[in-house]
Amino acid sequence: MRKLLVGTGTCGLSAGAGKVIEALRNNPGEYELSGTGCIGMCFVEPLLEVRDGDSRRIYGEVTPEMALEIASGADPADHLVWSDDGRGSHADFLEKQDRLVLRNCGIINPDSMDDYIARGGYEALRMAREMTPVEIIQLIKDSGLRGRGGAGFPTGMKWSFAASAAGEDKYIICNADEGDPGAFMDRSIIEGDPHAVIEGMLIAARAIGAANGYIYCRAEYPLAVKRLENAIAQAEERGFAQGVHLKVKMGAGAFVCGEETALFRSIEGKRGMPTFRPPYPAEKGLFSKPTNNNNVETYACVPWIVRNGVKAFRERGTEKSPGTKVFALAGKVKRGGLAEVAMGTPIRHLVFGIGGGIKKDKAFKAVQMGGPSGGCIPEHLADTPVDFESIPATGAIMGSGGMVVMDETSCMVDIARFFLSFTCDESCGKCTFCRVGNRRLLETLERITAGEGREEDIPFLETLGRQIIDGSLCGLGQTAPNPILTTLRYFRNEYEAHILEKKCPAGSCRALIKFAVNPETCRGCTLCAKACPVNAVSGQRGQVHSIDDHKCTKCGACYDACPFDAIIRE
Amino acid sequence: MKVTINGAAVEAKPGSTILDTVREHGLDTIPTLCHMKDTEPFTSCFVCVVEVEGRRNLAPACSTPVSEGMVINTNSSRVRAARRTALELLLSNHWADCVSPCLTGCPGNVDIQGYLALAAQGKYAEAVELIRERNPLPAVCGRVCVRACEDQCYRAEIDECVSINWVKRFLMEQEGVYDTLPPRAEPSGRKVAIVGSGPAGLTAAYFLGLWGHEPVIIEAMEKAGGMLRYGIPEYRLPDEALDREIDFIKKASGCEIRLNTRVGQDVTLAELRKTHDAVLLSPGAWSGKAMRVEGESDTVGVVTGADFLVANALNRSALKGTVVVVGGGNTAMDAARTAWRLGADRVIILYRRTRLEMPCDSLEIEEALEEGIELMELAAPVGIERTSDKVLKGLRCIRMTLGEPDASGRRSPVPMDDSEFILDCDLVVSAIGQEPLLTGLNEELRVTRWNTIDTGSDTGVETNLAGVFAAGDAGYHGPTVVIDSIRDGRNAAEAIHGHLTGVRKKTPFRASKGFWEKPGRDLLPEREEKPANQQGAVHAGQRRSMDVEVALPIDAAQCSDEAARCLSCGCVRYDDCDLRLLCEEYGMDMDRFRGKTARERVDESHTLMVYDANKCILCGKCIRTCTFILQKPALGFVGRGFETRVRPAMDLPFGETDCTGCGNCTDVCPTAAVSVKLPWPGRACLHHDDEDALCDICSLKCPVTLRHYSAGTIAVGRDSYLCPRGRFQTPGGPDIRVEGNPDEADVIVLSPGDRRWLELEFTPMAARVKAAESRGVRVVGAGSSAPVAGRVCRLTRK
Repeated sequence: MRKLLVGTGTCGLSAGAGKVIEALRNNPGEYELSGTGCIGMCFVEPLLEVRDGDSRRIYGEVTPEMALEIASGADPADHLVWSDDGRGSHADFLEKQDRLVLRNCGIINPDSMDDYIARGGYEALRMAREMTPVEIIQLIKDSGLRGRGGAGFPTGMKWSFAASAAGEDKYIICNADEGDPGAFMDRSIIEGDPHAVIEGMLIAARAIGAANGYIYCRAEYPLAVKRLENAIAQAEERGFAQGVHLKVKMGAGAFVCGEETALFRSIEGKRGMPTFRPPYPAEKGLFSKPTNNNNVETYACVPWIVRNGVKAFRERGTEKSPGTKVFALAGKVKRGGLAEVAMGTPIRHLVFGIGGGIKKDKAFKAVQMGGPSGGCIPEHLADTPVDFESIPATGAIMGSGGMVVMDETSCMVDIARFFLSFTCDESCGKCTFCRVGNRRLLETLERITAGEGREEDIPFLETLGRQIIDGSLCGLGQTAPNPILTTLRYFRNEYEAHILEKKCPAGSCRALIKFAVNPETCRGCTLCAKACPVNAVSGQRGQVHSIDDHKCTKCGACYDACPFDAIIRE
Repeated sequence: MKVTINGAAVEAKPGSTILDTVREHGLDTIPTLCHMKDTEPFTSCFVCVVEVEGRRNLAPACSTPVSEGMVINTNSSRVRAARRTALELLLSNHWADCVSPCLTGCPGNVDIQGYLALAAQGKYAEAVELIRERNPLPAVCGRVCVRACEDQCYRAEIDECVSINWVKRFLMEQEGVYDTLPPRAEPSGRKVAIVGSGPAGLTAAYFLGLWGHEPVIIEAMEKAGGMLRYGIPEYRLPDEALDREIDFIKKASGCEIRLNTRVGQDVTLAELRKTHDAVLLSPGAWSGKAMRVEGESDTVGVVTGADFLVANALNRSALKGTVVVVGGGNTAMDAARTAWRLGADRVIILYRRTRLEMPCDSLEIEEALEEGIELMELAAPVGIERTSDKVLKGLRCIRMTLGEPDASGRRSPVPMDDSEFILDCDLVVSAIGQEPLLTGLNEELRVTRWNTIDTGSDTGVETNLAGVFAAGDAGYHGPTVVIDSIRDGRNAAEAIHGHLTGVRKKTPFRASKGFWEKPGRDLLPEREEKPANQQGAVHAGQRRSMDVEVALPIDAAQCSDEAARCLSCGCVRYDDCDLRLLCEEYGMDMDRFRGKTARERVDESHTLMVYDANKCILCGKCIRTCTFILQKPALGFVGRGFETRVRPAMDLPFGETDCTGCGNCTDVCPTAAVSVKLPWPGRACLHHDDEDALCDICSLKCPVTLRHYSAGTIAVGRDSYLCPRGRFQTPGGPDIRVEGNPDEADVIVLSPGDRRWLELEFTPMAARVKAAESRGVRVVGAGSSAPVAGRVCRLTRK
């Protein structure tokens, strides 16, 4: 029987997948209908997959009407994005990946435990329960798995600390407080394959001897929370949990609660404020008990490793960073979405190979990795392999997998300002340097982008930035100046242009740009005048137009509207 | 466990922190603002950072455990720079006034808030003592000061500034204020010669004497006081009042005043330098400036203001006819009003700008006009009309108009064409400025191009000659007002003291809201509008005598009313604020992190405490203390990032929380973000004597420090937590122990270390409410009132 799958992750639903699945549900036909998680092609949502026997076809940008047509046998070639026989406009998007963590995402119905089990789910847990905790930990150690939350700490070692910590009550925590702007890997994994995370946690619980666990997931991820709760209930019902109690704890969306000590405080019902380490969580974590905390993706790797073995895992990635990594591609890239590649893959492969290059074929300028804690890696370093050694060497961090692509129109000072304003808002307010220092950095960047920069600003940013790193308690404060320091390292000339020449080379900072009409190319089509929201453009049809500087709010509407590139931005 | 701290190998307890270890061995005083003994390290201020060898980042000493072989440096330049930056960052969001704006505005830096508070408490003698700590001439200033302090008063945003000076004048009229002499230091045996007994000389003599030195004033005139006696007429400053001040200064400082001795004539500067350890030159500015019109120097009937006033102070001579006074300053007003009192038929003040631009006190103009003195604005002298034997006939004048503003910001007068006229008169007094007469001093003494003694800057006091200092009207800035001379005198005394002893005073660090922005009415405490109490004046008809003092002091009721109008802007913890003291030690560059500051109105809603969020540095000590004592803490953090605040839950006013009013937060607060509401009128950082005691309210006998102020005593914890009763009902207060229903009795729970549960007979709620009310405590609603809500206190005892 034919099977139709609609991508009903949050990304799909927000693009209209809800209406698609509803239309199909209301018009039942000779097929089985199911929702599935995100397959990663967020740029062509809503997605509808047709499985007919062994053949698979995925259609993109599907409307409810089109879905009904496809259901009744149509094959709109211009909407075919992928098929197992190699057709489809974006067939290479999936082919260029190595989907290990995302093995089930977009394939199974995430609410169906049977689907998961049918693809080998809970086999690893069964295997692990036949092993001793020491053996499990040794296996994970041997696999070389490193924390996917960003820091890359060896997972096996972390487990061994918690396992050997004295005390009966131990906790297992899954950090699903994904908060980086532009990052959605963890959400997609949970929404697409919640049992993989639960299974990973249950294996870890056995390894360290924990009887209780929490999944700390932000309340802004209601679908993920629902699917996790459903998966936990199913696992308990079928007897997989075996006395390990897992609970979903919703966070209120404070970014800092992704920092583990703040996360523990939040679960305890206290204000999410980081505390000094040591004591480390393995010794004194949640409720002052020995605690193991890993990221969603880390846990999702665990069942795969247990089932497929260390060797298979190590075949991917590099010596020191084995395995794969999921990235959320966003920004000025043509094919924004979720992509999993082996560690060590060059950035360029992600941006051009999978991402399909830069939108409107503009010049590629940089990628921002690691969110607000990370840094900008310039185009000339685009061949840097993504792994825990190479990325930090550039001044950025691996981070949890957010990768924001920037083109020639992205102002690097403004990017730094954006990320810093995020960390300023999200600082817990505890440490002097983070609370006040970052605010002063932000004020300086705001001044620079407003055209009021001063020569002493650059040394000020560098000096204070380093002092903030030196004088902050947690990862948020210690990394907050990274976007500034890396952009200063690679794009110092842009800062200098803002400060000394009062110019924004990318043409993005409103206070520093000016729009004018090029009389050579203007045809007097009046489109710019119509687009202008403040009537700053004037001119007769067929005559060269002009822009009144005093009225112009520099919104750029005329620039975007002109079909002849006759609006000059300087 | 062995560790090395600042090069010294010491034994450290495993598990202890760097801070514990350094403190235990007394190796350094690592500063910290957020660390507390009873709770886990909080690690937020980052002032305690130290350098640990082999670590990239600095380590917070309060929470970093020691480890075997650790090498620690607690005072390197990197450490000090980081601490300084932390302090500068904290301070960059510390919209607070360490001292009141009036104090800052007063050139003499008199603790105005302090003496207003004491005045409000009726402690007049203590108030005067406090004034004299900076200004030994309060009765003089109470009459003639230009009141720069009042210009800074925030109260003006609500209604009118506090009449500070009238309070001061009132205080000096009170009995006994000249009776008690301040303590004097042991004699140092060092002699200081002071040239001139004006306000600068007298002030310097006063302080030098109190600090143990032997000041000798060399005075050219027959009486002491300088321009206070010879320049300010008696109807403004009676001789009697001045004499009282000078007598007090002489007695208090032990200084000698050698009258009728003119330097350069009777004694030389060189001789003074030889016979004394230091010399202060404060000869004043006795020479009137010329109008630069022909004939002014040799016409009979044309004199300078200074000469006119001095001559009449020495020997009054009656006047008649018309007197024209040229100028718009205080000397011009004094000359005009003196002329009127000496019998002149008509007195005209000629001024080249308008009344608005006149530099004198506006009150002086009003009073002069009341007396019938005429003001001729926009006119200037251009020539003198005189008889052939050089006797004045009249003053040739020209009309002026106002042009563009000049460097002083005032519009400059421009002569009008063809507008000359002649003013018939019998006497012209030119009062357009004065300058020092420096003849007879050492030729090597460097002078400025304005013929004043060069001390480098307006506030400088050191001359180019070793051991020779200068102050007052002859100083760098030239002629100025009394309080500036008092400032100079004090500065000179400090510099001379430093010169004699080698001990230099550290400049106190003081944050000021005005550095960012002064508070508008919306950020000031809520007060009802209430006009200021003003001094009265003798009716103009009864003033025509030099011996009638015009101004009438305010009375006691007005004084306490006026003192109560003070908004108490300066910090109550100025003396022991940890942040301020550290800023002083580390030296602050306020400009480095100048930016946005949080600004909030002070929360006065609590019966017993004041919460000033602007002063909070988010160390969290109050929250931790509160959490430690109460199961449901009254305070917590709200907001994020830069907007984080310590606030009661749900942003309630402090007074509407579960606070039991134990006040332990006020003991731990490193600044005065949360402070005790003092149970008497007047809120200021005042002198107190501390006494170690044991609280005798119950059998626990908690250690307390009794803080004795002149208005009363409050208790603060001495390494202990106090219960509401212990803190706010200090020993000697009413005993309200009443038997009651055991169900309503308070229970005191001892810490687990002391395994007894001790139930004490404590007062039931109702009796405590009554008792609290009888002490004047306002009790608001059940459960909200601090002194009655403290049902359960958990106390620790060592």
